[in-house]
Amino acid sequence: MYAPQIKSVRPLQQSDKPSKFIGDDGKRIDGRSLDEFRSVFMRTGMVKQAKGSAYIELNNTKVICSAYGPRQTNNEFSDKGMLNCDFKIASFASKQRRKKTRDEDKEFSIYMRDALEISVNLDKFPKSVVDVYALVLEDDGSALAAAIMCGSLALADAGIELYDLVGACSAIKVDSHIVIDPSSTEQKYGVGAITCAHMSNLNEITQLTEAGDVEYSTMVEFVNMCVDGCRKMSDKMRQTLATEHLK
Amino acid sequence: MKLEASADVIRKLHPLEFYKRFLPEGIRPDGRNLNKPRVTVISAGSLTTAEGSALVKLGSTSAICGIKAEVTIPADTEPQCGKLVLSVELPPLCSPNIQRWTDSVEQNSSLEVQIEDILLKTNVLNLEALCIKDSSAVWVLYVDVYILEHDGNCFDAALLSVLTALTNVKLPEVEVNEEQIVSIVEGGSTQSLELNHYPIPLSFCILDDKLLVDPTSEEEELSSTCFTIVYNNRGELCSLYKPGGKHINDDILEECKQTTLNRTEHIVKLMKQANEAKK
Amino acid sequence: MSTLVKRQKGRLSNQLRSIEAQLGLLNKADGSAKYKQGDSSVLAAVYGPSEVLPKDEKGDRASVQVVFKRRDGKPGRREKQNENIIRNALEPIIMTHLYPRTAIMIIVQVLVDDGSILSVALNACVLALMDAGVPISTVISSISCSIVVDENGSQTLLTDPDLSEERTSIGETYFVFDGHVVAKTGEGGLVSSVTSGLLTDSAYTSCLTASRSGSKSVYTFIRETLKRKPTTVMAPIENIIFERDEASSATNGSDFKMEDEKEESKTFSNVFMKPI
Repeated sequence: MYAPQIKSVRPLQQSDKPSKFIGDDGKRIDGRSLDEFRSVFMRTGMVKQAKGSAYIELNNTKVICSAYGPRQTNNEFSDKGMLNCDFKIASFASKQRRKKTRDEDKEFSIYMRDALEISVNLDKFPKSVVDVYALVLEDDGSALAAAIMCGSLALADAGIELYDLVGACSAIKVDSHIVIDPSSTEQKYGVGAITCAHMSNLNEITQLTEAGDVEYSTMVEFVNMCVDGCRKMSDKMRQTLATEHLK
Repeated sequence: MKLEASADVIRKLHPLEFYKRFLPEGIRPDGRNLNKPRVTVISAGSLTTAEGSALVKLGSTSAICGIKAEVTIPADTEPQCGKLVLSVELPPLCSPNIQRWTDSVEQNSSLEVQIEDILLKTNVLNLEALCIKDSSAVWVLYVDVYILEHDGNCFDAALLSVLTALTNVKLPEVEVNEEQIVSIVEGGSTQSLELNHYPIPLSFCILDDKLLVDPTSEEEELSSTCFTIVYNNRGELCSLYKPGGKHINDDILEECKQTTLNRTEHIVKLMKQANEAKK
Repeated sequence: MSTLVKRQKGRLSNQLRSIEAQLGLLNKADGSAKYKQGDSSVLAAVYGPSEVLPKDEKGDRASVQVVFKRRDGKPGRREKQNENIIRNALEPIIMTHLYPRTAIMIIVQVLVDDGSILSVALNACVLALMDAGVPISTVISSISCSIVVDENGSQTLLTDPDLSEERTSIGETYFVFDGHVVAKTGEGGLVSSVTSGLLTDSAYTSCLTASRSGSKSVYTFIRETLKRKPTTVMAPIENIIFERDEASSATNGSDFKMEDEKEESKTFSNVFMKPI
């Protein structure tokens, strides 16, 4: 006896693409305006075992991050300290279950290091390494931006000397409008995704990634919107640190 | 230069001596009595992308468990049984002793085997309940646990998070059409899972010949032996896991069994409360 | 719980299978032992104390590593867990502080798996360690038990189950006991306990008692095996004495004094040193 052959065994995901991303009133599906963030929640010092730690929620995007160090490294001698970042998305973080090891995580780890490295005063701890680990518990869009901010907060919480806090923001184009802090639906169907990390006091962009189709002329607009977003987030981060550490 | 030895310095340099000052007084450095477990906090359903989820904190040790459900073809030998795939991860962010993901492989597999044995061999979950269509489609539950902070006694936190997440699972209603394609019924009801019993763990360690309940990571490291007892809410022994270390006598074992039994009711209540709160 | 039930090959429920051991089979290993309980058989080899990889190095003691190999199949997490259980039981009895910054490697190769394999493996490791002359502070021995249910629903305890009995069992236990403690006091001495399946309290207690008496036989066997092994014993056989007074007189000459229990084992290892 043969069991009946199954053609598809995965429940078909209903298409969640809305007909319109931007309503007639200029608002997005979740009621935000184009340059509005989702509700943000930040905290530091969650992981007591770590030197410093932070937790960020951008509505449903949840990232936890901890920083360890400076600690001994087995690498060759270097008169500058090193920053090591590890970015990982939990297997249950998105609608489709993720595989354990994915190339994307490695790529994002490097983006994260690039974004944070410049903000750290590496001359202060030669021959040693500071580890920053980020784990995305739930990914509802803008996970990399959230991880970068979370990493920067964790570093600050750990008492590592920083030049400035790093704010980060993603932007994407949907229905020919640029929106910041995209949700996972917007991220899925949008084009030309940008993630920008920015130090607001020094007014320096530390990292900028772009993927997909962006016209040269709109690029500047994209970056400007992101930098504005980063400024807002840096302020929020500063407030969080102040309330948690200056109690 | 005069060296002043503060409590923190002594704790770092001579941890055992540090503990020996406390334990004979019947108290631990974190203020607990020897037989007092840490405050246990259980919350359910905090992740929206998972079919079931739970966060469990034992003091500062915390574990998060997310369950994803997918449809798969059952094994030929068990055409009506669903599957359960468990993984436990101790990511490097949870402890200063783990610097890379690969550092914790041994602890991961040990926790996985222990929890899997308890779930499957004591029949906590009816795998038949995960059947969609006999010998053609069943649910597979991917149970993933991440330890967010490792301050000792990971096993208890991990097992409790798995149990709470299992009670929290909401499976969508599905249908199989003539072409054997499985799809979700729109606007259909959701199905939750019934657990046959609740195996509740409690871990102990012996430090300086004193019995400590629910040890922190520092205590675990200094202890001469650690062991875990798991009783279910019906009073049956689900597991008594003592991998090695110093030998213990039967009186201590009896005492620990009683302590564990007395705790089960409280924890099951916490678990139910967590699920109620979500509804 | 009924205890006397006839099993396959006319065995009683509390009867162990026949035990066999052979020491020093491998030339290149520092110590090796083949240990059989019925058809279950395991070959264990000990290498070291030897050089250690920097990542495993421990400043104050030797690091003990265990590799558990099945006859076939890829090593998975169950093998890792077995390694973990065996290492946890052996590490405290090996006097690792005598060999800082070294590694002691124990390789367990399953030859035939016919039930109680973890117990057989542990007993083999203890024999191999003694054959290698690695100083140990006590002798531990292990026995597994299974609980089976008959048609009437009554539970029966089977010590040292074989594979077919393990497959039909509703609960399994694996115990390791400290041989010296059990021999001296007749109780306690529980080093390891791993259980699976639902057990009632009384079932667990009877498994514990049955395993304890079973482990005593294995403990006696391990000591007898070493007495009869001529090639690795330096002193004449009559001189191997485990009693306390003999032991302490033998260590009088050494320049450091150890606690009572460890003293005993120090002479023990001296006696079993290999000839150079």
